Amino acid sequence: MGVEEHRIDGKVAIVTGASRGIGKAVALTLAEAGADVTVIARTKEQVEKTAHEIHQMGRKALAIPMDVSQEEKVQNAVKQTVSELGRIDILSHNAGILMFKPVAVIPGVRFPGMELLGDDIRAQTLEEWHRVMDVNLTSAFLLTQAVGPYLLKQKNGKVIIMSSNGAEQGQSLQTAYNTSKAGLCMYVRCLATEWGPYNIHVNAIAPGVINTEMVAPLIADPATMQTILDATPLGRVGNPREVALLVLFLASDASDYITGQTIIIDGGTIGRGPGV
Amino acid sequence: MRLENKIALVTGGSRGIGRGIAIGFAEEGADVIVHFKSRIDRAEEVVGTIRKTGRKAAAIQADLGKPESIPGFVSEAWDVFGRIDILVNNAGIAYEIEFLKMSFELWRETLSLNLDGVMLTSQHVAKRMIDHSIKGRIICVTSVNGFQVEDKFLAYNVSKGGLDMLIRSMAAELGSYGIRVNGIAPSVVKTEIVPEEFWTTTGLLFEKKTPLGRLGEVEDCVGPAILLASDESDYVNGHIIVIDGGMSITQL
Repeated sequence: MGVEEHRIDGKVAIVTGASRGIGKAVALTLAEAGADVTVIARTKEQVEKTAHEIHQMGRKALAIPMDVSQEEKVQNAVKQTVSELGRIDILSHNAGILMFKPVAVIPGVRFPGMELLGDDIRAQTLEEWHRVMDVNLTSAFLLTQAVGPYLLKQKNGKVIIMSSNGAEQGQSLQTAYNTSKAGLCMYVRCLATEWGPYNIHVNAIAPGVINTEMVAPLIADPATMQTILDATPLGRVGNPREVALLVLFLASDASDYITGQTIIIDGGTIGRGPGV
Repeated sequence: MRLENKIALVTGGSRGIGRGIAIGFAEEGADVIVHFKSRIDRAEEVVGTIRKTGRKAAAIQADLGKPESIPGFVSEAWDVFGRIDILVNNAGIAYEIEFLKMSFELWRETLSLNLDGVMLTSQHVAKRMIDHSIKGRIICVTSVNGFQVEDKFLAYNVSKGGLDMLIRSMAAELGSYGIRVNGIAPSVVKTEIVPEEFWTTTGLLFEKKTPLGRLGEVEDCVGPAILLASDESDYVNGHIIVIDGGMSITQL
């Protein structure tokens, strides 16, 4: 459902974070809707597996294992996409890392959510901060800068950035992740303003808790899971396919007057706010 | 056919955005109840257009600005097809008047339809959905005016701001019943309800402020409404999709 009505036949998409979770679901869903796809993620075997699944659908797929925080690799990936798949229309950027790290620690300190850290209670290092910012936020700049000339020239394009509903709420141990995701939402507004006159749509999606490997430690812990469910009016976590269908909506012409926006898909958690 | 055999009620469905959504839903397989206040001729045109798609349709009259009309209206609408799966609260009014010259009557009239009417209709429909175990959808047509100021539209702005919170509050409380509540917030949409002079005056200013360089069309609202009505958006709840070509996110 939703795929037939949002066809993107003849389009070429670059999908990052496409090895698993939301990114993989996006790569497969965009291919199902008719696009050829460049599949990007760090792990070679997983990237090739996703590409293979796309071939089985009868679409073309280009597998590029790489780190999206590296400028030269990003530039080359886009060039390779255009030369091997012929064009670029859609950028779906899902790559991201999540770390639970306290900002500062003293002996005996207690922060909300510390159970998730186990015995390893060390303060976030500058390197870890940079790593999260580079992979989650700077990568968006690098990727959009690389596809920009092509989209601007053809006066057409769809950029969909995966943020998080963490961008809208304070969460202990998530200073780097949530800040990077909030940064993405503002990046999207600015880029949408800049590129709007060239008919390029730039939007973000902010999922809540989606059943993927990234949040497996949260879902596996009964107390944490209960807290999540209590805060979610729909009483369940989401699944990657649902998020992928929303990416497809933003990649299709059904969303042609939507730009600069962050669409929240979280069962109602953020809409509710802290709630009592 | 993402709405196959669903029953939708669209308030203010005789013209503009409501009409577009009613027909768009029918094209996706829904049967539609078209509410109108006074333009029976326009409502019947919409019903006729829907019937040509092969779906069923009916028109029902009510003044949703009068609270006492609503229980009977919802009852009549429900009885047309025996259920409602999707409620689109689209009926609304907007008056242009400077704040200092605005009468209390105008303020009250605006809130009565745009806020009270939506709340009461939603409450009555939701109760029936719950009684019949229908995991339904409520979609409210709000506006960018719910979070950004348009001068001389104070009553309208406030009504839409209130509506935004109504959407989120209903979503929070109805979620456990499986009912999703969301909104769409257009900016300027080209419909017949907008006076002609607007397009050559204020309309041009809005166009200049819009990154995508054009004003909205009814069609721009239909795709997002269908998304929010269909199962693929099952996990979207308490969210308002802004459809404005980027106007509200920037100071151009």
